[in-house]
Amino acid sequence: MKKSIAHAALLATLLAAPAAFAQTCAAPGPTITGPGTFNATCTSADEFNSICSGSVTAVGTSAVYPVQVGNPNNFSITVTPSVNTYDHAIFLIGPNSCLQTTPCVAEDDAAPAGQPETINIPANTPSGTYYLVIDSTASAVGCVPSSIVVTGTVPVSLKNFSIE
Amino acid sequence: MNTKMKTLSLAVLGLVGFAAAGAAMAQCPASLVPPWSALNVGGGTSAASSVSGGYAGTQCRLSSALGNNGAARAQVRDDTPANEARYRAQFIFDPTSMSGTNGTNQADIFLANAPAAFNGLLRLVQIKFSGSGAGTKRIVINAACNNGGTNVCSVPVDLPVQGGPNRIEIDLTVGAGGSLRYWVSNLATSTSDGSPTGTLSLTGGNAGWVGVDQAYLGLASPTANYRTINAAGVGYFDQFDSRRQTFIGSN
Repeated sequence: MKKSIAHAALLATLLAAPAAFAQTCAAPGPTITGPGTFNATCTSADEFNSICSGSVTAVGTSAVYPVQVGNPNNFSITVTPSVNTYDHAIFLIGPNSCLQTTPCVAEDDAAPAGQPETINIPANTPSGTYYLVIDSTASAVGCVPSSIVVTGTVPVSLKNFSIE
Repeated sequence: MNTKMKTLSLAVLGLVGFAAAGAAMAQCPASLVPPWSALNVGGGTSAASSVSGGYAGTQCRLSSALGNNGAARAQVRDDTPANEARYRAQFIFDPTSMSGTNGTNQADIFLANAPAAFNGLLRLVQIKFSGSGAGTKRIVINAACNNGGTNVCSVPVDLPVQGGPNRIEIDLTVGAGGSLRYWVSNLATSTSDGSPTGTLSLTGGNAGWVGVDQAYLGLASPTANYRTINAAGVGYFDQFDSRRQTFIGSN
């Protein structure tokens, strides 16, 4: 019996050049399907004037990454800006919707500028496609390259399974 | 036409609690839903609840406090509106325990959202609490307008009562000639339909936003200065009322 879970391929996908993506809802960055670390760039789009069903004001430019969530799941996402003057706010919205009216599953904007923000997603969140939105509630100044670290079980997708 | 879209007065909640507990032990309800469509609380230690001390003879009021988080919110949500092209809303806001220091000390207190974003903007009306350089507590009324630039038309209004309840009312018309009239007054002062505190000019109109589809009441989206200055601040709200046509006034 041979079971292959393509974790390495997943990370390779995440590390692929993000310049090919606009990082908007219509053309988001690479899909996150499992734990790993990758670098995010940022576009100049201010796609989210508000977020969390329109209840939270988000003034900065944004970057959007889909997160494919299976079940069971139990994971967290940490985003650290590369510039210590930039104050990120991060949101996980969904499922299967990427609009200002889409509900927030988790969000964080507790840390000061330059420090990491972490969202802990409730365990066994319903399966679906969610969207990690990196934005700011503090400044309209363009967002900056960031490190995204995903830990836990998203889960990793099963790419191949065969019985010999 | 006297079409009353919905009255979500916390006075009603107060009367429910009063009836349940008796006059000597008036008790506010543990849940705000119903009459509200949903509670929207998140971000740090944010909290929204019905507490004693309502205004104008009511038993209970909404207490709203925010955690130390830029995405903090402590709101109630009304899903009753359905793309309303004419929307009047009124509520009482008491900023007694909030500081008015610093002009960037700001947090939302009321939102009226469109069904979908237009020109990247979802909010038809956003009312924010704000401090000022002189320490005066005020509100800033932002309304969507298709002005070819920011898409936001704005006016600041000093609160007439710095340490007590203020009555805030808006009358929004959505369309090519959209307009926003507003009344900001002492709770004890009578108001009339023909004498608003002011009218916000909506350059370019607001037709693209269609109408009001959802409303939020309560504190949300604190700026960094708000979180520093008003870490222990609590906003109190009461007697929310929204209608399609008729002036709400001082009852």
